[in-house]
Amino acid sequence: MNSSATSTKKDVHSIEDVRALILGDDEKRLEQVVRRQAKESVSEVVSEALLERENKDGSVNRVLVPLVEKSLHRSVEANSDKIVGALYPLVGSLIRKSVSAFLVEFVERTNTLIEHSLSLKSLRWRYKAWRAGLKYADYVASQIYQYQVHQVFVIHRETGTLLHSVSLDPEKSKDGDLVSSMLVAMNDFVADAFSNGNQTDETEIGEIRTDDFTLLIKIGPQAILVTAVTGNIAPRIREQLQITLEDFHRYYQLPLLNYNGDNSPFLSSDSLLQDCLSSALKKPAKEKKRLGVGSLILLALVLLLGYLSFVRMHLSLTASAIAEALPPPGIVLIGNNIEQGKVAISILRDSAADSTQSWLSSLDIDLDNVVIHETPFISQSTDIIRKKVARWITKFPSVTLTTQNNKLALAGELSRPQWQQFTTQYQQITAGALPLPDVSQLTITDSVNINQQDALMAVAKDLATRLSSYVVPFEVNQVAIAEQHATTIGDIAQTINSLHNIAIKLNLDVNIFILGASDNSGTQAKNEIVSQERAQSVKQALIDAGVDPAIMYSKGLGQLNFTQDNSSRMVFIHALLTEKNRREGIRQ
Amino acid sequence: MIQKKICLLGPTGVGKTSLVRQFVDGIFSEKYLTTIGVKIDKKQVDIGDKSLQLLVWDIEGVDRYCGFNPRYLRGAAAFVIVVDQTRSQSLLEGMDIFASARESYPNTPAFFVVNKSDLPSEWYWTKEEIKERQSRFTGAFNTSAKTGENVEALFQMIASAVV
Repeated sequence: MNSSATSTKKDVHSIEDVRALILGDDEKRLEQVVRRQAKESVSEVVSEALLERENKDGSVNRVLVPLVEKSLHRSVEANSDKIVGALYPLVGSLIRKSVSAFLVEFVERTNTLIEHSLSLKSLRWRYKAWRAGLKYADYVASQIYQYQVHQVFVIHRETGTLLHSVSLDPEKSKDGDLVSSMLVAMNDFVADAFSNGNQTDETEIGEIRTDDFTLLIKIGPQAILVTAVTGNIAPRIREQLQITLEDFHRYYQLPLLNYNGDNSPFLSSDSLLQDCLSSALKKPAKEKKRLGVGSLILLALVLLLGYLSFVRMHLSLTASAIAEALPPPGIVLIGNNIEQGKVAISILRDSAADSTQSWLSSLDIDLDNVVIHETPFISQSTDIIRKKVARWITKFPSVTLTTQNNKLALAGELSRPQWQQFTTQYQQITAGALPLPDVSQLTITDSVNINQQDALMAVAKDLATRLSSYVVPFEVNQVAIAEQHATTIGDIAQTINSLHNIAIKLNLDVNIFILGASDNSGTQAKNEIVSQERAQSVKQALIDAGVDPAIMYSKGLGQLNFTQDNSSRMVFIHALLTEKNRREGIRQ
Repeated sequence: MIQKKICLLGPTGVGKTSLVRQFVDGIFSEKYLTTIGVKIDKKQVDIGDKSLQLLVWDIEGVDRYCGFNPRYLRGAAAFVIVVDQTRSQSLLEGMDIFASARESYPNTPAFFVVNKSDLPSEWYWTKEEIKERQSRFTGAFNTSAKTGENVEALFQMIASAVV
């Protein structure tokens, strides 16, 4: 092996030696000639050779890319100022446009938010956004930006010819060819009229707005994207246009660069442009439905409140009607209010009175709406007492009780014990509120020795005793009978007349002494006069009530010094029965 | 369908708009209407078995006091310089416009149109002078927007040249 290598080295040296021997000093010149010829030959075919090799196995690219990258890197490091200077006009313009677009959208969105942040509507939207689980800003955008993209054009920037267009409603689409050319012409006009002379900073139309619609224009290197939009445009639409325009450039780069008026390569861009035909319109039906649910709830609440108000008003009217109605005898209303959806009434009721239910029914009041709290009591009403008397008198089947001129009259026959039982129980039932009935038609029999005269005498004595128990009181320094004592006067008159009738039957004289008195609040002389006038007032009242004046004598007693200050201001009665033409009275 | 942008240029009042109206709508209006800025029309023409849509940019009349916006020619497949044989000055102005357009677009096919051929020629240019100028263009026509003479032929030739 070593011997072989040694022999190869020897061969090389031998060739070198032979070359030096043949060429001598001409070797270097020959080498220069060969180099020059090779350079010329290679320079003629290097491009084709590189292309051919690249097409063959792609090795040229693999070799060149790392070299170019390395060179570029070194160049950027060494000449950064120059490169920045060259790129700045291009990159700066793009960055400026991008920042400007962002700021426009940002300000628009901020303005919208501010505009809709300080109103009642904003509170409602915040609530709805919260319910929908959306950000407030997103919800506002969905409410504010109601728009429709009607048509999209892609225009060749250089020639102004229409590359392709899509429309929401093809029948209503505008003549895209002329619109495209006109837009490019307008853009040229704007660039010419308003540019500041700097070719790299060309002024371009971004938007054309009319009353009805807006043309949004996005200009790319080879193509212009234009959309016709109606409504309030959301910022994201502009973003969508920019993305679509960039995609269009990416997908159709070669057809755009080689464009010669043939639009067929762009027919396939339909789906790409369709993305821009978006809309955000309120859907009336759905909105109506949402509103419908809310309205139903609201309606239900209103109806409920209305019903409750109606019930409350109805109960108030019922309570008012009960309070204003005059209760029947034996019923006293002491309380009336609304509790737990019903009218609660508290009453005092005598057992002899009509039922509370029948009273309420007579007022046309629904008993289901009323709760009754009854407390028993004994009524002093004359009607109730008369009812009680009428019910009680049935225990005495031998007599009848009638009412004549609003006065009770007893007729029939009672034994003396029965009579005594009658008077005792009558006093208990009436509690002095009713005088004894007229008994002139009553016959009292004595079971042992029937003596009509004695019986009548007993009644007469009883009546005389009752008369003595009557007192008509007066106010200080007053001689007129107070209105509330009119009943007492009536009772006294009835009793006197009964006694008078019996006295006639017994052939007796009856004398009624009406005695007036006063207290000691005035002078004695004055009190004499006052007492006399009081007696005279009672006498006159009894005359008016039908008592014979011939049997009455009035007398003023002057002042009586009773223990109680006011008890002596009164008139009292005394009955005296005497035999005819005899001065001696009959013992009572 | 292939679309091509064609621009009509020329001094004010030489009949550019009338030419377009004659070409597109086949009508001529005696009413004079100065075009403001740019007016664009389109018409479809058939060249052999090919169908071509011409988008004709009728650019505002230019005179010595105002230049024209060369941006309007951007992307044009051809442009037409229109002059009026009843006004000598229109040829000079037309050639100035042509020179300006050539500065920005040296390779775009250009056509020379002498309009109002229905009226007697009133300019003092000799035929040689006219021919000399015509030779700088891709093609030349004498047209009448009023009678329609050569209008169709003009645009047919333009279409053939740009297709």
